[in-house]
Amino acid sequence: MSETTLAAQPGTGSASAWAVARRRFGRDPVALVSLTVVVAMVLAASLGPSLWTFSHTDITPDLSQPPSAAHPFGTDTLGHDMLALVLRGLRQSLAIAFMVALPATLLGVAGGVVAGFRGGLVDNLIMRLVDLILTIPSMALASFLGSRLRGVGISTFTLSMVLAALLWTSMARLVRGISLSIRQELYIDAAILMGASHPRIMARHVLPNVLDQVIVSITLLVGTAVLSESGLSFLGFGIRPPDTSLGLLVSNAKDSAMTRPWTFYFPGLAIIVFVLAINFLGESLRRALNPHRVTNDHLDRRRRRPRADRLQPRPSRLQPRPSRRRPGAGAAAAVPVDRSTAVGVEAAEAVLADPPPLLEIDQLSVEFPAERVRAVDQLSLRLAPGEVVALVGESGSGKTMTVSAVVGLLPVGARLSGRVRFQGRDLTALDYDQWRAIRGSQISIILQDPMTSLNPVLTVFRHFHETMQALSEGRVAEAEVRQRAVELMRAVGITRAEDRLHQYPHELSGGMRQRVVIALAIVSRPQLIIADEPTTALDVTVQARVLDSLDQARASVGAAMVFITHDLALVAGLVDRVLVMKDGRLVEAAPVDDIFARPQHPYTQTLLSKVPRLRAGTAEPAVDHD
Amino acid sequence: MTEPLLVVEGLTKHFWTHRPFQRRSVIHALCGASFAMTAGQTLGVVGESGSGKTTLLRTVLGLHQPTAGTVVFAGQSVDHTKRSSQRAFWRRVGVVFQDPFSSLDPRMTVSDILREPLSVAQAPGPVEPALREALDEVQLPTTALRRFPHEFSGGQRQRIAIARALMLKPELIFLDEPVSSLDVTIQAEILELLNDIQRQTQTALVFVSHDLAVVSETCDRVLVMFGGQIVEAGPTAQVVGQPRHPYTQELLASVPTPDPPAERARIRRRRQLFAGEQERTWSLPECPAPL
Repeated sequence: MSETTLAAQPGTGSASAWAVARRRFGRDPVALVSLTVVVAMVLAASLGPSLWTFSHTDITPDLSQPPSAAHPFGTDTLGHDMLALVLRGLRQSLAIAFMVALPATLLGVAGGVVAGFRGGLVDNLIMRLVDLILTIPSMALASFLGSRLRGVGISTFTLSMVLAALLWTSMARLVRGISLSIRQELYIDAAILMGASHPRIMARHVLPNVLDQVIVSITLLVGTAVLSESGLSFLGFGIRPPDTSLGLLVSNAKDSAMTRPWTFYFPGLAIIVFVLAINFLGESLRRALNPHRVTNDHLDRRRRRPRADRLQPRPSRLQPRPSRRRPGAGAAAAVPVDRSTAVGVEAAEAVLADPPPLLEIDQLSVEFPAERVRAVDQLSLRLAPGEVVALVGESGSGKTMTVSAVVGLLPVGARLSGRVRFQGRDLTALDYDQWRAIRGSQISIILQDPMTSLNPVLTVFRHFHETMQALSEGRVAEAEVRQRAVELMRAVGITRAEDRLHQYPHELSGGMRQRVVIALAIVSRPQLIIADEPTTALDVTVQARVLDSLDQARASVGAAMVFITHDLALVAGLVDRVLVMKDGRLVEAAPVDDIFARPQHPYTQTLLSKVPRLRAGTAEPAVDHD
Repeated sequence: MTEPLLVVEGLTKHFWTHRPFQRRSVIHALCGASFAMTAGQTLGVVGESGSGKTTLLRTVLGLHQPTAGTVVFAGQSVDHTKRSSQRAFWRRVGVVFQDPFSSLDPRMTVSDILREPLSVAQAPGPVEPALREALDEVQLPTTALRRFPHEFSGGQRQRIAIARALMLKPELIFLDEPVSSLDVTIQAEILELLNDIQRQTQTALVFVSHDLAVVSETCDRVLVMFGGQIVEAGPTAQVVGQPRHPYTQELLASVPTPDPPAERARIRRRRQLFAGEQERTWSLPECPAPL
């Protein structure tokens, strides 16, 4: 078994999550541009004033000059060089932003982690304080303080502390939320059971796990701080002359925006560019640090389903260079050419064969060119009407990919080749509307987790209603839905079906939910049911009941079924034929009695030997005993 | 009879629901559970979800504060209201959880994960050999030390979790559904590993699972739980061979057999035994009121 050998994925090596994030960040053009802009502006603000010819206090004889070679940003009415002013303003604004962001982050993270981890009274106290601060209009408070200190002029430091005291709350709320969910993780329980102290757990386990989110929100905080400072200075409550800031510069120039636009637009532009760049930087960091963005985003509407007709070899940017392909991957492109004759012969045979197959998979391959992975490798199978087969294999053996290809639900980036025929019709070239006529009506799918396959905001009745409306493409009388739903629910062994109709998925037990899914799957009297590990999330006793329901439901409509599982024992009494898959290939296919009595392939033998068995006594002692 | 390692007496855990504007109601998650086990023994706890088996384990460990009842470990009473008493108990037991994806801190390397019990307990002695020994015990190469949990499969992660539980050479390991999220092949390997470790170190095991077949492969004795109560207890052979309680009988009748004719017969008989209806015909005694 490969279980004990460490098979690191190519390309990832022993990279930490941080290294992965760094690499992803490096590949993101938005990230690089925004980072460059931010770094350039920080450098300009810190080094610029000392490098530039003029200082912000210098008064030149050139009054109100438009931009020129000597004064690239022009001069103001007093003869100050605008570039010098903007550099100085940027420096002061960024200094304030930094002085705001640092204490606000420290306070917010500490408060949030403690509140989220400790919970109870501590959480209540901290969060009520946060609520209290959020009720204070921050601009009003800051301007009030500024006006009280008008005589002396508010110092940069005081202004920063006031803003920090107001802005830490958003960070605290965010961090508390993440800490609350981390508190539920089992590694926290494990640390508690080692006897680790609470400060240790917060420092070693909670803090590192909130850090990526914190980094993202620091960028947003800096942006907010720059804007707040600008706003306050604009209103006259922030930095005072002769010193300057971006907000103050904009404020001074607001009356001359039309006559001397350069005094107004350059500082304004500096604010906009910096805040935009830092927000984009935050967004890029979020993308880079969020592991869920790595592969397939199921909500991405722009994604395209793979279809066979796109697989004809043609020069395309999307196809990998031949040199980077795995050996053997190139064969996929060649298959359609070879098949033109081979398929015809087989199809003829299929017509002569009795009965004609319901589902016919011929040389099906599913590849992920980007990851250089072949999930399904030249798989062929035939399913007679009403036949029940099990597709057995470990996770990663390609069983789910096989049925995803059959129902046209392959993830983005998958390439399909080969042929899938359902009732003699080629399924690989269908578009979305054509699929709608097949999925859910002629082919039903039951997935592993009934909690995610039912909509949590719809009652059981609504689920049936929606399903029946989708099938009939029009209005269906509620009484009719009610009658049919109760009938189907009784058929799958749901007691008190009338009462359950008005319950929501979360009010049902796991077994009950899965039975509802099964009942929904047979509403349309499908020809084929695909059940993908339908009982894996369930207890043994519930599993037995749900399997019973599934078997009876299937038999009642006479559908064929493909049952996917990793547990051979589960299907022994349920199916006609067993197909064993390993690494994308079919290694053995035989009638159920043969495969258990005389497994041919060594892998099948291994699988069989691993099945958990009742150790003491015979196979069915419980019933014999009674 | 040797001195018992763990004695649990009348352990009870009630949870109160808090919903605004509604009367608080009590959930009897665990009702007066009592059992004892000796050093080196393996005890299985079987039941469906909601039967209280995980609550039992978490209450014995003190992750839930017990409502009533006592826990005595190696002759010493464990007082879950006192941190020092708890720590002394935790120092001598190991824990492996169900979900190997949530039980390892994603930001720590395997080396950090395995070091943590040692550093928290301030265990004396060199650390490096202890790490290598622990990895060896769970059959992972030492190159694993530098890696992060996300680089491992579910089975490998569970091995790391077992290695962590073994770091302080515990006298008793609690396992909460350690294989139920794994494929059968991986499941068999982990069970084999646990059996090997148990044989070599003579560590006692408390093995919680919903699958009687899995438990019967590892444990000498079995507790069957239902509705927060222990409904049947005894040596595995006896419970599997001559189940007395109807729930145990249902559990046994639910275990699939890798033999098609026998399996078809089992399904037929199970259907007769529990003909169509989903409600159980027997009921449990009332849970005693909280003290």
